[in-house]
Amino acid sequence: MWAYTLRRIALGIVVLLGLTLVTFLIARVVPSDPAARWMGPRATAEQIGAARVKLGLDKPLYVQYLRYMADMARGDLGTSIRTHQPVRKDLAAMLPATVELVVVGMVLAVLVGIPLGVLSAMFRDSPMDHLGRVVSVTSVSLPTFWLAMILQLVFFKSLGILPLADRVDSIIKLTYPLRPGTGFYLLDSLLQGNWPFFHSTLAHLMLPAVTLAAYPAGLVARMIRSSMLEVYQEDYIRLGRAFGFSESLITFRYALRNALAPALTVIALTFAYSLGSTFLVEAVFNWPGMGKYAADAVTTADYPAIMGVTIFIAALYVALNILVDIAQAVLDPRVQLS
Amino acid sequence: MTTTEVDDRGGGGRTDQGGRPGQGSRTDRPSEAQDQATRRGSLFWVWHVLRQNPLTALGAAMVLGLVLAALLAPWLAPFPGDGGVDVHPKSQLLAPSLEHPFGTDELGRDLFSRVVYGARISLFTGSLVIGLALLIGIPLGAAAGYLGGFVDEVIMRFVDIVLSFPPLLLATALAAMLGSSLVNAMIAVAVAWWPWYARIMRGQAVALRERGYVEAARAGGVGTLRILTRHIIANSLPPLIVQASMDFGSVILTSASLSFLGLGAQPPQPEWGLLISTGRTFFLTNWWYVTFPGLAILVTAVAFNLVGDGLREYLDPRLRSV
Repeated sequence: MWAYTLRRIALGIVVLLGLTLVTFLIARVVPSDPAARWMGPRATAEQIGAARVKLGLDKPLYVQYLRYMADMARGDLGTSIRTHQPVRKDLAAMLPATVELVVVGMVLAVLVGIPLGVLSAMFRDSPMDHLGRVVSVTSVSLPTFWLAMILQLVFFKSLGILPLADRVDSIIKLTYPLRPGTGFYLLDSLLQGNWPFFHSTLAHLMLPAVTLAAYPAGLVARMIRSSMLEVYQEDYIRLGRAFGFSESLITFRYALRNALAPALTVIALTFAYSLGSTFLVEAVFNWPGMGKYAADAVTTADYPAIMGVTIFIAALYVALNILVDIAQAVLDPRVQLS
Repeated sequence: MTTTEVDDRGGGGRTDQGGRPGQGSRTDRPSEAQDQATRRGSLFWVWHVLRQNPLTALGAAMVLGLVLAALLAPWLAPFPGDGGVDVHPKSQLLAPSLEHPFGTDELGRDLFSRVVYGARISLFTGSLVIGLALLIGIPLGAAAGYLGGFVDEVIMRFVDIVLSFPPLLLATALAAMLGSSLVNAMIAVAVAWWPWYARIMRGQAVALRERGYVEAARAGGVGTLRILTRHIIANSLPPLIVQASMDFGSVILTSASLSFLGLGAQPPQPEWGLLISTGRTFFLTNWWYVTFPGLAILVTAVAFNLVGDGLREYLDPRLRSV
C-alpha cells in the first residue's frame, strides 16, 4: 500500500515538473515579447531592453527555466502584467470565492445527479429512463456561458427574483460589513450571525452554482445509471430477488451502495475539472474568483497570470487525481496494485 | 497501477479504470456485435443501431439536418449576404418576426441567416480539430504501442502530462498565447485533444503487435513503417472513428467557448460562440440575440452526443440489453 502511494506521488511530481516545462515553453515560444508587454505600448526601445534584463529574458532559455523553477519553489508564480501584483497574492485572494462556488455547485450536482441516475436505471427503457437520459444528455451539451445568460434572463430580467451578478449586494456590503475571516462569505456571515449578508450571498450564489452544476449533474447521472445497470446484473442482486427482497431494498441497500464507488471517482474528478472550467461562469456572473481572474488575464494576454493560474489549477487537478487513485485502492480491494 | 480520468468533454462518463492506459477504454474492445455487423455490411449495422434506440435515431436525424443546413446555407438563409458583412441600418435589433424568425443584430443583419451560416463554421471547426488531433495522436500512439520500451515510456508520460491539464483550461491558455484567431483556436483545441486518441491507438497497437499477420509481415522483412501504416494503424481505425464521433459535440462546445472568450473566430464571422459574445452587450434588452445561437450550439451538441451514446452503448456488451 505504502509503496503504491509513494509511487503514485512520485509519478505526480514527474507530471508536475512536466507541466511547468510545458507552460514555460508555451509562454516562451509564442510570437510575443513579454518585455514589451511589461512596459506597455508607449515604451521606448531602451526601456524594453532594460525590462528584458530586469525580467531575465536576456539569459539562455534553460537559465530562464531554472530561475522560473527556483522562483516557483519559493512559492513565487511571477508578477501579473495587468495588476502588477504577485500572481500568488492575487490567486490567494481569489481562491475562497471560487472554492465556495465550486463546492455549492458540486453539492447541487450530486443532489440532482444521483437520484436522476438511480431512477433511470431502476426503470430502464421506460419513459422515465428516456426522460432522465434526455435531461442528462442536454445538461452535458449546454454551452455554460449561454446557460448563464439564459438563467439571468429568466430569473433576473423576467421573474426578478434573483440578482444579476456579483458575489454580494454592494449596499449590503456597506451597511452590514463582514469582518475578515476565512474568505468564504457563506461561512463567515453564518459564524458572525450576519443574516442580511448571508441571505444576499446565498441569493447571489444561486445562478452561478446552478450553471456550474449543470454539466457535472448530467455526468453523475450517466455514471450512476450505467454503473447501476452493471451492478443489477450481479449474482448477489439476482439472489436478493430470488429471496423476494423488495425492489427498493435491492436498489438502495445493495445496488446503489456498490454503484457509488465508481461514481464517487467521477464526482471527485469533476470537482477538480470544475475548478478549471469556472472561468466561463465567473466571467458572465462577474464573480470575483480565480476563474474571472483567468478570463481577464486571457483577454489582456497577461502571460504570468495565465501561466500561474494554469499551473495552480493543473497542480490541484493532479493532486486530486492522486488522492482519488489512492482512495480507490483503499476502498475497493479489487483494484490491483502493481 | 490504476489510472482514472474523468472525461470532461461532453461525451461524458468516459472513465478509464484499472490497467494501463488504453486497455480499460471501452472502445478498445472489439465486440462480437461489431464483428457480426461488419460481416453483414456497415449499412445494416447503422440500421440496427438506429432501430434499437429511438434517441440515437433522433440524434442521427439531427446530425443529418445540420449537415444539410450547412451545405445548403446559401439557399436556406433568407438573407445570404447577412452571413458576412451586409449592414441594414434600418432594421437594427428587431425582435423575431415572420421576416426575421430569430430577429436581427445590432447591424440589422438577419440572425437566422447568420446562425445557418454558423453551422458551416462549427461543423468545419469540429471536423478539422478532430482530424488534426487524430493526425497527432495516431502516429504517436502507434509508435508507443508497437515499439514499446523507452519510446513507449517517453510518449505515454508526455500524454499523461498533457492529460493532467483540464482540457478547456489548456486550450484557453494555448489559444490566448498563440493569439486570437479561429485557426489558432482550432490548433489549441486539437493540442488538448490528441492524447485521448494516442491512448486508444496505443492500446490497439499493443494488442495487434502479436497478431499472426503482423508477425508474418515482420518475418517477411517488411519495414517497420510499412507494418505500422498497413497493418497496425489500418486495423485500429474503427474504434478511433467511434471515439472521434463521440467527441464531436464536445469539440464544438469547446471551440464555441473559446470564441465566446474572444480567442477564436473574429467578426464578422457568424460563429455561434462569437454571436453570443457580441450579443451579451444587448442581451438583457434583446433576448433573442443570445438565445438562438446558443440553441444552435445546444442542438448540435445534443445531436452528436446522442449518436455517440448510441454507438457506445451498442459497442459495449455490458450495457446492451439482451
